[in-house]
Amino acid sequence: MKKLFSLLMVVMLSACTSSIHMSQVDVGTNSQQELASGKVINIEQSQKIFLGFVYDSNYVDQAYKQLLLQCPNGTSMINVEYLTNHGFLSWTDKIRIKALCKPG
Amino acid sequence: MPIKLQSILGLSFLLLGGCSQLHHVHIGDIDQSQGRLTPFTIEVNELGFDAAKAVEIGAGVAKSASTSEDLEFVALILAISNFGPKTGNPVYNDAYADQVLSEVIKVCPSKKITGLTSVREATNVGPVSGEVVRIKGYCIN
Repeated sequence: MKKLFSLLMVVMLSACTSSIHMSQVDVGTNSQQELASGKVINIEQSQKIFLGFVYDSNYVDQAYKQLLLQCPNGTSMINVEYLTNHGFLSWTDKIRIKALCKPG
Repeated sequence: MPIKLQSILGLSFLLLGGCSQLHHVHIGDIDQSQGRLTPFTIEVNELGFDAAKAVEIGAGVAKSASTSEDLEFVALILAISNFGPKTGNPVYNDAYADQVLSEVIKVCPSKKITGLTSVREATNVGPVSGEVVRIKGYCIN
């Protein structure tokens, strides 16, 4: 019973931990109208890594390309978050971008 | 009695050893020419817990050798199950900082913001910590 409880605890504690490495907010030269009426967009790109074998960070470039596509007039405020979801001998690196697009 | 004293000393070190750790800071443009500046701070935090480290501490203070060995094995399983780069202690919610942008947009009635500083820091007490994202800035009035 004690061992079963311990096993259950280990399974529970090993589930889905994460680490946020960086979350930064930046504001451009903005007008009152841009912050009041701009549209907020969400972009998330990730890369699964097994045993630390990683050869590129293209997912960041993909997130940036999506940002340019979704905000053709630019951004008035942006939040970039870089985090890792941990797993069994592997992990997933993620970049999350939230941005306030300038109205057209 | 000596074991009790050791436990008290260990607990004291854990509690008194709490300290802040800065992981990342970013300072944006500051414009002081548009009007009077009013400071604001937005802070979100989440409980960080290093389960493997906690079990390792348990293995260190275990009375019997077999319990200590079992706990070391559990610590190993926890470590390989939570593999990957870590900033501070791991958290069980990866969305705790998701609302910072909307909070920053809402905070200034004038909707004019400057001088944003983003800080990622932690307050550690042994294997437990408060993982913090703090945004400071100024509303232009």
